[in-house]
This record gives sequence, C-alpha cells and structure tokens, in this order.
Amino acid sequence: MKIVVCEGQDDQAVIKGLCDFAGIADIAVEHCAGRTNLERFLSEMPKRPEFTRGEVESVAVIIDAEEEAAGSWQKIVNAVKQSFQITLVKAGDFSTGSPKIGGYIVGRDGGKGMIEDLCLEAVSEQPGYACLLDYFKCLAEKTGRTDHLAKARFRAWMASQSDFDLRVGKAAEKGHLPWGNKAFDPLRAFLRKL
Amino acid sequence: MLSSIHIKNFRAFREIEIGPFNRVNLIAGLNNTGKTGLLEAIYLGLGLSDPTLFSAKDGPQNLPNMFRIFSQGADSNRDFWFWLLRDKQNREDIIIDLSDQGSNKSHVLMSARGTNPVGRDTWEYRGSYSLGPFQCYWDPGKIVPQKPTVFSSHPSDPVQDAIDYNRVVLKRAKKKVEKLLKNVDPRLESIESLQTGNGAPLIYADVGLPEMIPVSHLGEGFCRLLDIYSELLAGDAKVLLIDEIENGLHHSVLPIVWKGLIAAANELDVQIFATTHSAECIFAADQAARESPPHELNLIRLDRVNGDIKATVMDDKTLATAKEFNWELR
Repeated sequence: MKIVVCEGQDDQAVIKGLCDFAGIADIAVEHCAGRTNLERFLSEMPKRPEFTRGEVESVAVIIDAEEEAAGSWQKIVNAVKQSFQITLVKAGDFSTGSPKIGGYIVGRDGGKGMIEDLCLEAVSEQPGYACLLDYFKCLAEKTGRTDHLAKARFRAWMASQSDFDLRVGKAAEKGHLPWGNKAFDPLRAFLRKL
Repeated sequence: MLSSIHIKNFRAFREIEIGPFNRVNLIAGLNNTGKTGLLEAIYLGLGLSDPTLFSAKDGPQNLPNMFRIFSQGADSNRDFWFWLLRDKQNREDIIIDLSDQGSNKSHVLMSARGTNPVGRDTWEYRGSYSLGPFQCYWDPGKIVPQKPTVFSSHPSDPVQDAIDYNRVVLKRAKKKVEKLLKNVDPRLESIESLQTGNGAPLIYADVGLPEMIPVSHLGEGFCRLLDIYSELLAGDAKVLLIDEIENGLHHSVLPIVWKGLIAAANELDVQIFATTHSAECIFAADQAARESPPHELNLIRLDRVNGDIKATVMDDKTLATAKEFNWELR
C-alpha cells in the first residue's frame, strides 16, 4: 500500500489524475484539509491499523511551496521527523526503511507557487494563454490587484474554455488538464518512486 | 483502576504489554486478533488473584462458558483449557500481570507442565489452586480486588436475570435503570420482576400495552442493556467485561447508551472493557466521553502481525483525527 498525503481536495484531484494517466496504481491519495493540519494528520497516522500491520510500503507528503519553498520543505521535514522519527534530506527523495517516506514541494521552478501554478504551466503553450497574461497585467495596472494570482489566473483560464469548471480540482476530475505535459514530469517522476 | 496488562503465552498472545487503560476501553480489531482473549486475560488476572471468586457461580472455573459457547459433552481439558496456551503448547507457562494506576502489580501464573514452575525470583506466590489442567499461582500484590462482571455476546438466562433484577429494586436503583432504558425505548414506563404462572420469575416491562410484556420480547439489545445498567447501578463489580457491546442495538441509540454508561461508570468508579466491531459504536462512545469531560476513553486496536498480536492504544486526539478523516479503526 502506498499513500500520498496532500493539502486539500484540489491537490488530491490533480495527483489522482496524474497517477491515473501515468498508470501508477495502488496509491491512496489523502488530504489533510489544509496545511495547518499536516502535523496533526501525520502524527496520528502511524497508529492506523495498516501501519501496525506493516502493510504501508511508502508515504509521500506533497504540499505547495506558497511564498517560500524552503519554509514549506522545513514544514514537511519537521512533521515527518515528529511522526516517523525520520529526517528527510532532500525534496523529491525517499528515505530507506519501511515505510519509506518522501516529500515534495509543488511550485514553479522549485521556487514559489502552488498546484494552480503547476497546472497553468502545463497549459502555458496553449492558444489564448498569452491573452490571460495580458488580462492580468492590465488588471494589475488598472486596479493594483496582485493577490491570489495563481488561483485567479487558473479560474480565468478555465472560464475561457468551452467546458469549464473553475476550480483546479474539478478541472482535474473532468480531464481538462494536459496530463502528458512536461510541466508535470518532475511530480510524475516523484510519484513513480513511491 | 487498572492501567495495563502484561500477557505471555496466552491464546493468540506470545508476549504483549497493553496500556495505558482508561475508564472506558473499547477493543477493536479483525476476527481472531484476540479481542475476546484480552477480556479473558483480564478476567483471569483479576479472578485468579481473588480466591473468593472461586466459590462464586461466575468464578474462573466457569470460563469455558463465560465468553464462548462450550459444548457440555466435550472434553473440557482437550477442547477448552489447553487452548488457553498459545498454540496449545504447554512448554511455557501462562503469565498474566495487571498493573493499576498506583503502580501496584498483581501476578498470575498458570502452568500445565505438571512440575512446580514457581522458581521465579521476581515474585512470591500467595496461594495456588487447580483449574482444568492448570496449576494456578497467584499474588494479588497491592491491587485491591476488583470483581469483574462478564457480559458475553450470547443471551443470558431470563430467570437468573429476574432474580438479579431484585437487587436493583433492593438498592433503590430501579428508577435510574428505567430512566436510562427509556432513552432506548421511549414507550417504557416501568420494569418489574414478577413471579407468574409456574412460579419462575421473569422481568416484565410496561410499554403502554394492555398487559406488561416479558422484556425478551423487546429484543436482545434491550435485555443486554438492562443487564449491564443493572450491574452498573446495583452490582458490586468494579470492572465490566463486555463482549460485542453493540450487539442487538440500533446505531441511532448508541450515543445515548454510551452517555448513560459513561455517566454511571464515572459516578460509581467502574472501569469498562468492551469489544466492538462497529465504527458507529466507537465514535458514539468517543462523543459521549467528550460530553462528560475529562475524556476517559481509549480505543485498543489489536492486529495480527507476522503471526503475533500487536496492540495500538488510541486516545482522544487520535480518535478525533480518525473521525475527521474517516479512518478505518474497526
């Protein structure tokens, strides 16, 4: 049994879609209802029967970089250390032992960002994407609005599609994301290591 | 209150330490993971440390029929007692040590080896007696005898129940028992132990019908709950051992049942160990415990790992997280 722990329902849908497309089977993708719950979720996790019975082969923890990848990585390291007494060394790698544990930070180019940034990167070569950037550039100039850009951009992108659902999770469930795009390669490669 | 148990070479348990216990302890796990075996171990740990229990009708000599249904025609040594030994091997003795919250310990050793096994230098036994093929040695230490009362998963004897119910009346607990059971069947007006017909007493309930109805007609769950509440409120047991507590009870009444059990256990300083296969039962008990702070409930999850049994004790934090994220704990 392999388990992925992510932040929320949107991340869960994207990771499930990515696994299904890549033919990565036997993975349970669970979310902890927000990153503030990550520590609590992981700390109680080893008491679950499947852990006691030694059925869990690996656990992957995936969260957004948000404003700082290093800070988010440290959050994973601390939670894993407290829950599994394992010190993770590098994002994208797994520990040895049973279960093996790994962590991954979602963002653009390993820096800031979140799951919506990754999905936008995957559609960035599609026609119309430049219009989206122009729209938000214009919006910033006219109104000064620059907050929640990734979520707003993704929803605007989906609004520009013929069959749209605005949240990234719904878009993932309906197959609106180009799963084969190279933007997903690093995350896909990490999931294959599970 | 008991705080932990150490079991060696007993039923499915090779050697295990289980604890910490709490006021209410629910025991969960797949089939054949030692849930009922744990109840039996607690019973023997307490029962064999208290020689006065041996003369009681529910003493250790009745263990074959206590939690399980044992055929009267069968060979009790071959088909019951020897199976208390792990893998039926008598090379090693059974050891059951109990600890209480004051760090006191009691020791029980059961040997079927036929030679005097008490060369142990860790404790001095206070007495010994025979039980099936076993010679049992005991030392209650400083643990105050806490008579255990057993509620198995099979139906009780209605005549004996009626006799026992008189104790509820005698101890003026009748109204309390009726009030608790009214939560399960709101029609209930009163419960009486009556001697009618051929003279055998039975328990009858007034549920607003033209005539009082024998409680057995109100269902197995109702009768069992009547037994449990009666023992809690009018008995002298300090430890209740209940197998498959949710049997015969609809899930919708479990929260109110647990509310009553926990309130009575707190008030009368009784400790409960109960096995369950029901997630609804676990979370109903957890909710009731949260509503009567402090939260005095643990879930003991038993799992078979490489032929051995492992125990995981879950407290209020784990139970809250498990409920929130719908984790499987049964």
